[in-house]
Amino acid sequence: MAPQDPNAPSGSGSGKRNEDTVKVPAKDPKKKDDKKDEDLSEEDLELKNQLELYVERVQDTDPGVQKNALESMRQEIRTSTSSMTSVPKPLKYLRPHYGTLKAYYETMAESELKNYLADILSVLALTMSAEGERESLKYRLLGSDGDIGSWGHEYVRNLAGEIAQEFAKRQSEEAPIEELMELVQQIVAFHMKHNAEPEAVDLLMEVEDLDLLIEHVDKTNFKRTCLYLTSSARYLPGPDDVLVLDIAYTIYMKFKEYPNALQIALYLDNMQNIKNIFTSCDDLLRKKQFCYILARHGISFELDDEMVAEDDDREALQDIINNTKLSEGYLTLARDIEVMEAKTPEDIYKAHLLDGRASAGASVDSARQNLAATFVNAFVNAGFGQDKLMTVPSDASSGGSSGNWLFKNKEHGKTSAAASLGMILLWDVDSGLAQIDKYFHSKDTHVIAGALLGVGIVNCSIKNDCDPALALLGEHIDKEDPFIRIGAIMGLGIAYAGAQNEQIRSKLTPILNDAKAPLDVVTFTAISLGLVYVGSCNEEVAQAIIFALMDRSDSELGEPLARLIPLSLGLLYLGKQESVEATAEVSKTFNEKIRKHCDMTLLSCAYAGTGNVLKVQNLLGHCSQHLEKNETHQGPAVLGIAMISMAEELGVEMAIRSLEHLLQYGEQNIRRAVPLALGLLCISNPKVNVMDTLSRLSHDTDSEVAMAAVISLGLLGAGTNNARIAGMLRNLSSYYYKDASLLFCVRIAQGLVHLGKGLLTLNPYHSDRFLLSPTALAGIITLLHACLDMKAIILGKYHYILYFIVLAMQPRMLLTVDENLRPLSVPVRVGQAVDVVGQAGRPKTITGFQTHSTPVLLAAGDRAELATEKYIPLSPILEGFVILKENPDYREDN
Amino acid sequence: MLNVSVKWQKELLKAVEIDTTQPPYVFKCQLYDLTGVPPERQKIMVKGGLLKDDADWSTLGVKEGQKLMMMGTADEVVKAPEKAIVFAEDLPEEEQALNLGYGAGLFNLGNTCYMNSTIQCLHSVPELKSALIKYSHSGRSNDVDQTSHMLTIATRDLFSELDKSVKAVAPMQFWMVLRKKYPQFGQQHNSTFMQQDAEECWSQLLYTLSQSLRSTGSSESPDSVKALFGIELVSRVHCVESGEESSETESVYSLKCHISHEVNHLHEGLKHGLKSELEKNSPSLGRSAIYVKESLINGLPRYLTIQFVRFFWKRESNQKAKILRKVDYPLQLDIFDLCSDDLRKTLEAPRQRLRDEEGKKLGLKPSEKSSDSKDKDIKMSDAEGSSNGSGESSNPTPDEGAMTGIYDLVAVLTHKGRSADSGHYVAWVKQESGKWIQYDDDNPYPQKEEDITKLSGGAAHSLTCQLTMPKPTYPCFGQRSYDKGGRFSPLLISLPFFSLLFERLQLSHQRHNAFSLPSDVDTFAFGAVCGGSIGRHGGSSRGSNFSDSASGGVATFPSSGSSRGNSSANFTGLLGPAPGPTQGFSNGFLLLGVLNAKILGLGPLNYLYAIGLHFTQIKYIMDLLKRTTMLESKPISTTAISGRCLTLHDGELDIAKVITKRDHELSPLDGSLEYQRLDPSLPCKGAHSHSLLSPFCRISLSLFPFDSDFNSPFPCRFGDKNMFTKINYVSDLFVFLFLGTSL
Repeated sequence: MAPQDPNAPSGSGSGKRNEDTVKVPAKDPKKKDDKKDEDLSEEDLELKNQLELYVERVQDTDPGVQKNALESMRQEIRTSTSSMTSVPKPLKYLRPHYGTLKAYYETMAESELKNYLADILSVLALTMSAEGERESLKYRLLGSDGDIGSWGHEYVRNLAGEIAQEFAKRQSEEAPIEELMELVQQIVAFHMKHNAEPEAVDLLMEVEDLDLLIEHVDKTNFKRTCLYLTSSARYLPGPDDVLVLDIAYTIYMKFKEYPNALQIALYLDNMQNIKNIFTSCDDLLRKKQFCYILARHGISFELDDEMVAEDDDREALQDIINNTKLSEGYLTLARDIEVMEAKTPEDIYKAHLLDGRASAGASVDSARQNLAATFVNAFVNAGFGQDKLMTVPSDASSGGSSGNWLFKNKEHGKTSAAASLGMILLWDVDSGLAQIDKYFHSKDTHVIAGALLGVGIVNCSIKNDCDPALALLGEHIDKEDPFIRIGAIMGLGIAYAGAQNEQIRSKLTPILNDAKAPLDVVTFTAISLGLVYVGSCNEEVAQAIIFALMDRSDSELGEPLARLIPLSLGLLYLGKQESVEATAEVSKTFNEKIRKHCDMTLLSCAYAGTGNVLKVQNLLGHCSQHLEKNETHQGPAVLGIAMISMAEELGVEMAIRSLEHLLQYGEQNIRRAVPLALGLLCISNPKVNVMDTLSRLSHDTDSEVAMAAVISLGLLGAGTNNARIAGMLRNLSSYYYKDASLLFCVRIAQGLVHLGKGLLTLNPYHSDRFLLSPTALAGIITLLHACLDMKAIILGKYHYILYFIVLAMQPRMLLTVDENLRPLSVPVRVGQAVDVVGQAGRPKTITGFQTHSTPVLLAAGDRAELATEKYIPLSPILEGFVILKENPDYREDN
Repeated sequence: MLNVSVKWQKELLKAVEIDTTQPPYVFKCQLYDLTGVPPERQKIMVKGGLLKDDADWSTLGVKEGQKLMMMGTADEVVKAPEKAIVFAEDLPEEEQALNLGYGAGLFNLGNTCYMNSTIQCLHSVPELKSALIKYSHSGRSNDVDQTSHMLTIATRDLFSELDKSVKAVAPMQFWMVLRKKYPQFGQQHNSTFMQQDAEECWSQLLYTLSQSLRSTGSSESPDSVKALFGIELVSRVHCVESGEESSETESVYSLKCHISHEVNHLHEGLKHGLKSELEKNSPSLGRSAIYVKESLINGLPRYLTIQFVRFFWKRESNQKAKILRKVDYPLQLDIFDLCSDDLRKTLEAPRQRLRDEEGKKLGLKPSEKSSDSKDKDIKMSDAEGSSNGSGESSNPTPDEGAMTGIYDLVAVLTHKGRSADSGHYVAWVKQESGKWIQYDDDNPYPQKEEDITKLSGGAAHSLTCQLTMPKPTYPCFGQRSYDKGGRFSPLLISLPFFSLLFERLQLSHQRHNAFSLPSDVDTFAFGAVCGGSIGRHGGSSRGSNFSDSASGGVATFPSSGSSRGNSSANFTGLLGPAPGPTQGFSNGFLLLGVLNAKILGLGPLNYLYAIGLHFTQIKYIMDLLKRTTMLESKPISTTAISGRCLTLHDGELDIAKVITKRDHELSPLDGSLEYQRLDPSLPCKGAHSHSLLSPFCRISLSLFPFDSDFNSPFPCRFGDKNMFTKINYVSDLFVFLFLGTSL
């Protein structure tokens, strides 16, 4: 309330009399000005007096005068509310009269004038209405239905807020909402026209009627609308998020923004929508781009003639989905960046940079160190098709030196060595299979197992019409020798991850239910099935795995390896949220050794990548309990925290903080899992604070914590060549030079940091961190679960589990291709991505950019945009393969 | 007849005909012609798997124009190498040792670093090893006494053990025999063995070996030790006054490098060492006169030993002192100009050859390091540090025994520390591989050659490490003065550390009587310790916190009862002799040394006043700091001052400076670690609470050298990391408690 005039007689009862007394002195300012008036300029004073006059006249008996006064008042208000940096003057001066007018309004008879007054009261309520009264809305509904926007943005915004409250109230009272919805219509239309899409979306979400949006979007605002919709979906509880994304999908479809629509369809894992996109789009070139997006996501998708009519075209498109060109593109990138030269493990260790301690050169091969070198070599040269240990041309020295290196590994080490060939020839099925072939004829079962695994690795994320992997591996899964079986089974899992291949299921499920099969064979079978059917909720597979778990004896379930079986069950429900519940119920009947472990694993897998805060809290709750002996479920719970909260940046930050607490207060088994969780949260994204934490943990007195931290350092810097992590690891290698196990971990981490010589990423998130590739995530968490008991698995004889990481390996590149899919070099700007959601105008999407010409590497958090107008990209997100079309409107400047 | 295309590697074989009436083997033979891959190695993918040789085409559903894929190569099948690869992990332990490329370390048996270092240096001399191997039990001749014989045997056994073992060796047998033969090494001080001079150990051991090895009667080398280490000197003794001159020859085992003000380089020191003045009776003058003795080398050993004379006797203070002057030494020493004319002549020819070869090499490869040249004979020695000479050895010259007078540095025995009675000896030994290993007792560290020359000043390593006890005084805690009214001083009691594990300091009231308290301590504030008996006694121990008021506040004993009697017994049992008022705790300390104590974390020590860890050697402190990445933490000088909180940035930077300032007034210093648990629940009387009891709760650790009297603030290192988890590996440490006494 504005201060009353001190000169006014106190106790003046009615507002009307009050008005009068105020008015008198105002007419003679020089004599009886109050202090406030003194500050006013001539102009303001005049305005004030004018308004007061109007107020008086509104209460006049003559409708003509009333009308005039209202009109003028309205005129005053409208001219001033257009911009809203402070309370507009007319409103300010009218504040004292709000009560008066309100009172007068009640006394008026129904008439047009009354509606007029209601309008004005509605505006005045904007600043006057008491909290929770929603008077603005009340008078709006009573007033005339004039153009809502004429009172300015602030009014509309305020109204929208009140509608939301009113809506909630009416809904609980089940009162009619029609009149509100009418108003909503108006407001949304206004917002959408005036670049306030977020407000419109917010309002519609409040009143639960997002469909309205579709009518109001147009060419100019649908992008910003959809952007807001998709990014707010992350913070909505289900099923609202799906609803929101569906709307976004519909809008994108409406405006033929198919790539965006495709991404949403992929996010929702909605195959029908994907098909719709293919059928709705009639541009072959754009379809090719869709195929690239599908290929990057790593799902298997069959085109039919409805989607693509021509056989030849369909074949070409299917080829893209099958990733057959991935190897070629990757090598193009490698040649462009000039890193084709193969690297040896010694190039990675850089022992010469270490001072002092350079250990006296050992004269005898150490199996452990050679194994580490095998992995490092495989990781570093992944996909390049050449290295200096395994693929050295066999005529280089007598007997073929590749054979020599192979046999520098011991027993099961040979499996990993032979399989490393698959990693080196990754994605290049044709020459890969040819090179691996010779190992099939070895007499050593370990070598054969490795060759089988290698075949699987080569075919990872590649599909081939002839299904060579299935043909080659299929016949080995029932062999006597458990090593060969494991090699074949694991190979199948890697090659067909996400394929949901019936044939494989029928081949593998019998093993699960074979009570005589050794535990390790069963475990790998379960994982392979989990990978093949990742996120499918396939009940038959789930049944088979559940039976396998029930069949196993008490002692077997106590084995560290057996803990991967529940994981395979979890993989089936990866990211599928509630779908897991039935299975989770069943898991309660399991042997108590594995029950809780299974429970945690299922929970964490089902909600992986959802950012569901409640589930994170649930898991944190489990971590705060004190364990009885031999319980292992807290490890998966800690990993689960990371899996769930990795969905978005904010969640990641919060999870990192929570994990720090666990580190301080948690028990040993939790502390062992924390580094791994940190590694998962920031995979291939070397954040300095996490790096420091891990570096500290890598000197922990508990060697398992240290090992996990070392491996996580590798994950953190995976494929980045990060100099700081490389330096840390180098120092660790000298610090732990006497501890073979830790040194092994350090070597593996070094290999990971230089993964693909820095061209690869392990991040399962792609497309501007919007989409989560299920197979990639499955690969990573399988590895991490194995790392929960490092000594028994990775440092034992199952080190080849490390190769599961291949599922997550993708080039972190932007490769632009022309309409014939040939690489095309164009200038692009690469810089730090900026969050532009809900920002006004056309904000810059990247900052601190540099201009390169494609192909380029994209680091974590980088975004690219074309630096030329000459071409138009067919995908709005410049990642992976992007087709460029010539811009017909482009004119060469000159 | 069908036409299919076959994809093989990167090739596409078009229009291959299939005769569907023939078995697939025929088709494979067709492909063999095209690709050269033998049929049995072909893998052809058809629907549902691989094409079998005897399959029926009609059931396979191969269609006209279908693309088949064939896998297979004509490459040679990989074969395992004929000779199985041997892996380090498979080797028995002894062979793993070889693998390391260097020998094992030696455990410190209590100030035996002098001995360990000496052994490591001598162990690097292969000729000595082989000579020892020839020495047999039975071969003892009569002119060697039993103890020498035993010492030789012990040396031989120890050497072979060093060669075999991966892990550090405990030279027990050798040490016992050494003490038997030379009882001076068994000297004890405060019931612990004293630090000894490595030079003495070196020369005694060499002497013994030369005696016993000579007598083995082996014909070829009547005196192998002498051939290896003996230096023949020819001296001219000249009297300036009388002009008398005589010459004499002698054989010594080491050259001395005297260090004076003008000596900056080893060479200069050696020259000094070869010139000496002596006073003797001159027959011609009939009285004693000054003679000048100038020696020259007349015969070179294979291994030349040089001793840096760094320790000398300070007459005025009656103390041994150490010269810290930096004296450079080269990696390759040419002593040609110290040789006699005769020797020079014999050296000339080989030297010329060497120069020629080097010239040749330089022409070809200017960067070739001289030490690589095989025909060079080198030996040099230097002992650095105090009076210890250390032997160094030359590369043997296998093909031509010709000496050139040029020696390569092969081993260094150094003394770290500022004073003669304390410090630490380490040996640096060059391996056959050319790498240097620093043997620090049981830890061998590979080092770089450059680092060796950096050792040239003893001062570089100024921290001392010897365990010597401070005077048994009752140190005053903090900076309080000894005023008559109420003196506050902590009493030092040492405990073996692991006792804390059992009981978290649950001392019961009765147990305290086990201490014989100094008679002049009337009230013994045990509250701090007793309070440690965990939460449930918390109430009773409240009254027993230190009262630091000047009125000599009486601390009451908590009646915590010995509810856990069993385990307390353990505790006191380990307390050992009580620290008396005059002999003091030092005895306690020494007797209670614990080797290989394991600490599993102490848990909350709620009312503990302060615990320190006492390390016998400062290197353990450094080690610990390194492990906790606290090397950069600064020693701070405040723990015991009232009302001061510590931060990481307090204090002075240089621990050495703090010590050296008062070098002469201190007994040798030791390092200790202090641990404090500061519990807010602890009642602190009023605002003037003692800093250690100040009401904030955090664990802090500080590391400080042990002062002889606690009058001054301790310089200590401080940090709030949970350092106790890091101590697991530290052996040889003690714990002490500070307890307040009110006099």
